[in-house]
Amino acid sequence: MEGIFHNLGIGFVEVFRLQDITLWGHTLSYVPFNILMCLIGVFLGTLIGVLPGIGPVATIAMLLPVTFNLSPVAALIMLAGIYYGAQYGGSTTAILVNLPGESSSVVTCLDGYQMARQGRAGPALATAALGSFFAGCVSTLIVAMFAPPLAEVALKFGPAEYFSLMVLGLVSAVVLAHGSLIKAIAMVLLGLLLGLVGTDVNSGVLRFAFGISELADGIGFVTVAMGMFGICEIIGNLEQKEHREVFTSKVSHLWPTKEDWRRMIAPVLRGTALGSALGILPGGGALLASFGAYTLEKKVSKYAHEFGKGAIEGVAAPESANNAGAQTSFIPLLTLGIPSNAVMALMIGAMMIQGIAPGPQVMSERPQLFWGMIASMWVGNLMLVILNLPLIGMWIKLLTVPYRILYPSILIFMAVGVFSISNQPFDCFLMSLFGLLGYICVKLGCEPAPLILGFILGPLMEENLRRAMLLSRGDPFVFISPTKPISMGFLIAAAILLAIIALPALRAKREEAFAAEEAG
Amino acid sequence: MKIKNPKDFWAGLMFIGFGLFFVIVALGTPAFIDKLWGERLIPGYQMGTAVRMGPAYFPVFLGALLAILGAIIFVRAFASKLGAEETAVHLPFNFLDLIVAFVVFVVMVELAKHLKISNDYAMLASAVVLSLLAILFRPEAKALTLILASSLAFAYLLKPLGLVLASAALIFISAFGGHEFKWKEVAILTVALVIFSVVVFVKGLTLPFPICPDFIELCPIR
Amino acid sequence: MKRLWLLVALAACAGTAAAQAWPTHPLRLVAPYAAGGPIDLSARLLAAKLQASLGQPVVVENRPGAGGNIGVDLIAKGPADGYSLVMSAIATLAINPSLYANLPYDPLKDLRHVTLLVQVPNVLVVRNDLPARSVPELIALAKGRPGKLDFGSGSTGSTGHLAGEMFKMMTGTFMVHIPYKGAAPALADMMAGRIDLMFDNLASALPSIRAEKVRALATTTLKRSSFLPNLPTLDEAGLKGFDMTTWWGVSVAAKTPQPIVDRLSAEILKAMDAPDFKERLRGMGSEPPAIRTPEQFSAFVSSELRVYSELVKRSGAKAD
Repeated sequence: MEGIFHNLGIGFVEVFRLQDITLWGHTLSYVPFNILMCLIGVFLGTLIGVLPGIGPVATIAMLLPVTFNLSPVAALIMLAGIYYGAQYGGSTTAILVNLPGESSSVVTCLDGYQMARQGRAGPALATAALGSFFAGCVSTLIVAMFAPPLAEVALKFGPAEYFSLMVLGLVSAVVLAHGSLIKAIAMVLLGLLLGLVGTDVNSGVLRFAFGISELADGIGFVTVAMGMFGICEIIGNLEQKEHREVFTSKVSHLWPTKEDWRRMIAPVLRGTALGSALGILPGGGALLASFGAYTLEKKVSKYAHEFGKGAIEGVAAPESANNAGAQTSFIPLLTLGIPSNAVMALMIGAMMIQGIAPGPQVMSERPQLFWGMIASMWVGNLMLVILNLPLIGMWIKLLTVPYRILYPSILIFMAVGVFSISNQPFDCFLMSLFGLLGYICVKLGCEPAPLILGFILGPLMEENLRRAMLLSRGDPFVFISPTKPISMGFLIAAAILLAIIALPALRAKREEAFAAEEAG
Repeated sequence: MKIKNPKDFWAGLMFIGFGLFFVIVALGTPAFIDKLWGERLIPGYQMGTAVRMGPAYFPVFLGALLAILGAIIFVRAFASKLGAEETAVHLPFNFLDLIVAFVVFVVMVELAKHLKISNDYAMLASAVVLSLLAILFRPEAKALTLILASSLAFAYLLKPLGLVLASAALIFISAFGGHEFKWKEVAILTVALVIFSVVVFVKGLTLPFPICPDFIELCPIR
Repeated sequence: MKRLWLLVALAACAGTAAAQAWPTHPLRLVAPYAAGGPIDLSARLLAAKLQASLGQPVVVENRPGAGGNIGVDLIAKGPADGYSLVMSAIATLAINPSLYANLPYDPLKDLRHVTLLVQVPNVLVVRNDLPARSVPELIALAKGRPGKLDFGSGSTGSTGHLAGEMFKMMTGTFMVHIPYKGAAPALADMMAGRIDLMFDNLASALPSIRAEKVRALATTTLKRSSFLPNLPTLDEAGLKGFDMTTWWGVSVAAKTPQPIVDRLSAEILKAMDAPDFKERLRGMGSEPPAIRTPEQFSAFVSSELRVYSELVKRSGAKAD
């Protein structure tokens, strides 16, 4: 314990260190440069997080040349700030206009946007910010205290474990929908299939591309999400026959009520725990964090019937899980040098260009860098809350703008974001196509959220299944063998969850049948 | 047999369609169809074995499962006990319209190929044709069509005409799809959004977008 | 006839005049991969340098897709005015022509190769508890347990995969290829002991080697790497002539005027000789390549093309 305080001490000293810097030929003394970089990072991150489609990956890549002239600590602090700043910003767009710019904010859309439509955007945004802040603090502490042993846990996850985890994730996807169970399963399957479009990892064969070279790398997540959530929502709103505004104009209050506070505490705690655990897994665990937290809440909450209609738990849990996962996903990076997502891969690039080989030796060889970065995460999270809470008032004002002004603006940001992914018009065409698909699905009573989760998990699931089979030379029992207790555990959990989901549905069906009999 | 739940009826058909589509593309067309066609219509991918699963293995399995679920939903549509209000499908277009839209795209793309001009023109032309068709024959689908068309217009105009004109096209077309269209308001909105986009996206985030068309050499900002 | 000569002379004059004025407006450097990879990173580094020395903005444009083919094709078919450059790599120039059934461009005829920027050796790494401590021991182990050893790679048709196939061919062993999505997850699975060996590029494997999470047996280049001077090469270990590197550089459209190519090459070399740039590239595991002129680079591309077309054919890897 004492060691931790000593180390965090090193970190905070590094973050708040006053240094002399040279700017345009002038030397300035005693500038808290690292903390300044952290501020710039989180500010930029919030900005690009709010803009749909422009993600942290592109921003960090574009900013890398700028960071070469900074010290390694300052550079990494800033880049990390962009990353978790974008997580905060992303939830803002999800809540205000139903646009998930990142896979993690898909579930925030479900209840956050409904809250916004009911005039409760303020409490939703505040909940997201505070939940994220709490989760950020806790998970930063986890990174500081347990990084090396947790990295060992991450290594315990092989293809078989990941496959079973994905199965559990998919089962939980069904819970996302509040309508028909069987349609939700079908949407998951459709998402899985759409995720397979593109070059097959194992054989290199191009699947379902029909000679369109733009499809060779598959369909981008942002494209699908923008289409099925953003475009679809705009069309739906414009179609309302009577002329009324989309958002309730009366905004009751900016701040969560006492009742809100009471209801958000447990979900934030559970979300943080789940998110921290999943974030450690480099092979796609963090992807599941927000989905998993939402499912968990919906199953344990007293207010399950309110989910999808603006339940505050549905914002608090996934947002904290997501931010916790974002912080703990630094563990495999810092301790093993293994990136868990594209942003982390970029951080490795940034470190290498600074002449630092990422890996376990960073902690012992460069304690200032390692602990400075961890301390900066905590400081950065604090800054984000301070930055975001006053902004809530401004965001609420945005909702009072007439919708006929708002929607072309949303549309242009989406189009720019989607276009910028690979600088080709085809992605915007695909976005329109998914907008149409989403529109039809909604009209047919099929919800898009399960499809999105299937879409994210599909390629990972296939890849791990095939790899596990290759490694075991085709033993189908590899997933439930006693030598793989983790994998077996996930599959059992998936089976139990499926039973919990299916039983009430079956019972409801029976009751419906009885009711019909009695009536008839 | 009476369709008691049109929502389930169409959703079931959609899932069956998607499922079979993926199965057939992955497996290739059945032998008898190839015989009728005269050559291999869709080649398909390798199935592989359980040890070394081929690229077709996973999609065929999932596609078949999707088609089965689709069939269950389809059958349920005839035995639903839900009210008419809950099950009614409110789509502003019918199945035939979707086929028409698809045909328009195919014809335009083939035409572009024939005339040896860029495929981008084909996409733009399709967007224009479908918008006109929707305005003339499907007024209820105006919002849907114009929103989709506006993002197509933006995408395919961005490289040749630059961010300013492409944005203007997107804003005007999409605004036209709304309830009311006020020239002045839309014009002001356009100016504001164009300035914002140029400053934030091109100057700030350095996205490689042209601002003005190539042929206007005198464009004040590049 | 005379008139024709006049025209040619005029055109040549115009060409040099254009070259002297070049560049008069911003250049674009296409990185045919998604933002953030090593090729994209070095493109951004180079763009910053060129921008300073050419006095015109150099905009990096990511055009990912089809293993990099889309971005390279864009330049191969684009205007040959020296304003459009592409980061071309071993994948797009040497491997994809035989991996993809119908590549839209010819890497030798449609492109002019300007400068080889980065050359990174691959290293043969094995998991820590594998009983083989040297290359001969590994070969003996593989021969004793045919089809039992697994070798991972970043993707089907990557240099890591093909180096493994080359190893199998030269040693007459049989090992199972396990493709991953990128080298990092493969490395993680090797640290956990699930796969036995892989040929990874030096930059990504070095931290784990230094931390003794995995064990390096040899490098795949003819010369030892200055990063790991004690590590033998595969050539020394008995696999005569084993020489594989991961490399990338800058190419332009084939018909780009010679003066522009020369100027561009000179500027890029100037950037590469700058100490700060050199250090950044070293961070990516690259040592300054011996190949410096456009002619040497073109000759190198055609020799690599021959090597890999043979290798891809023998390995049976395919993409379309």
